[in-house]
Amino acid sequence: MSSTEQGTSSAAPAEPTTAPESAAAPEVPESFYYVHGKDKVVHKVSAGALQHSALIHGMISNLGYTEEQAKANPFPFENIDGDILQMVVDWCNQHKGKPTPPEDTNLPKQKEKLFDLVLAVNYLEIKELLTYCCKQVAMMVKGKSPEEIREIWMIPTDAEDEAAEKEAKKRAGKEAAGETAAAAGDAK
Amino acid sequence: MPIALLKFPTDLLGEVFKECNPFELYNVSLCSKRIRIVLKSRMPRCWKISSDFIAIGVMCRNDDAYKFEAASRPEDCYKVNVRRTMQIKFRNGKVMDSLDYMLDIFGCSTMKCMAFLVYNDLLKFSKIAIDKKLEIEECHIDEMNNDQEFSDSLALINQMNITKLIELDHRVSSRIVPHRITRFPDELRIYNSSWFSIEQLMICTSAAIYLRDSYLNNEDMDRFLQKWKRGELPNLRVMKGSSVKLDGESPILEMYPPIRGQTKTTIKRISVDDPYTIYGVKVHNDQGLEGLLEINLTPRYSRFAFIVIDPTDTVTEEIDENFVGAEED
Repeated sequence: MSSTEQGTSSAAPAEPTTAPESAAAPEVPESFYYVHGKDKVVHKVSAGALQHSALIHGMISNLGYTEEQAKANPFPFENIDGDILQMVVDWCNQHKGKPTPPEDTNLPKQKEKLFDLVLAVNYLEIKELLTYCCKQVAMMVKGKSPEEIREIWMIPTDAEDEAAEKEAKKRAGKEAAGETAAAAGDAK
Repeated sequence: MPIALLKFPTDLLGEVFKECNPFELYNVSLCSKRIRIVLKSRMPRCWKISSDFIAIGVMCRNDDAYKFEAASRPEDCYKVNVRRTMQIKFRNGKVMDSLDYMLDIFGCSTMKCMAFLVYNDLLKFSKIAIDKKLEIEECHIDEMNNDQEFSDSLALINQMNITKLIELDHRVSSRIVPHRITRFPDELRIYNSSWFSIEQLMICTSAAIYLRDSYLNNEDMDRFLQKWKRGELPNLRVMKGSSVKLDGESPILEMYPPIRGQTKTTIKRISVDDPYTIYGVKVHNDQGLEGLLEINLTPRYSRFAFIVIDPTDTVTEEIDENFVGAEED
């Protein structure tokens, strides 16, 4: 199992303080968690960065793992491709502890990955990134005619939908007939 | 790079639609029956529609409208210009059919504003409005072909749920209009109101009544204001307009016109951005509310204004011009 060290170098610098040193609160060490996608590549991510994901935040908030326990129990996201998870982790690290600006230049730009990225972000419940991704999807049809939109968003025509529905019905009928025949054979 | 939108979970589709403007949503709706069903079930905002039966405007709350108008040439279809206007081909060549379609697609239960220039448009639209149980905020009716059409228009608007404003601009040839208004919105504006009788006025529940070129005489005005004095017009905030029948021969609230105070009062309603200046005489009703009445007699149209001052919603600025004048002397 390979491991990347995402997030380790992006810890926020200590805030300057005017209070006397003796009165300053002791710095709490940042905790890290580990996640992996379909490719099993493990990403180390700080709890701060993971706060963007409502799903993961909910999972880790009551765990109280030690570093060793966290390392030994990476969160598996088998439904997310490795490169997509990498994009998401990168984004979470870049936005650790700060809100996303309206025009975020650090956001993933790969159009060909957009579909999988949207699904992953939706699954991980990263609201700000989801809004951005949905904006990207919506932008694809800006100023386009219905015919162009149909192509860009791969929307089947009514005729195609009807044909697909007929086909599905036919298949379901065949399967039902097959099951009936098999049941009759069993009874004999 | 295409993307298979319909493979997204439906809640996610709602997130995508949230980022689309009405032009994009309309064009998406034309792609297929299936996407239309999904779109309707995931329409993200409460859209409102306006129409004057030349164009259709779609807006969110009080934002500027996205305007749809008929494409002059087929090649201009779906083109958007800088004035936030998209050219489309109206369904079956009729604005009404496109309006009906958009009400359905955008899931509108409220129409912002409807303006009718032709009786038949009103007739067809009223069926849609009643069928869909639409709330119509503002309804404007222009000059109809004849008094009968106008009278029938009143019968139709009584059946619709118009909440904020009815504005009527038909000039009757005879003062006899068989139909009457029976459902009143917050504001009633009649620009040629000779047909609007005192019987109509006495049952009017609008908060703001504007009657231009009316036939209300002193006795009518007195009857109406006596009703207010008894506290029987709790909604009334303002009534103003002009009349050909007012004179100085008989009293209104025991005062003979012209009725004019010496204090210039500027009234600013907190809820409405329309400062109004009146030289009114103070009158009070049984509920302790104060009103200002001003009647100016002129040879043709005498002007009247009656403003109710509600301390919870009104700022008044009073200037005694006599006093100012005396100081200057």
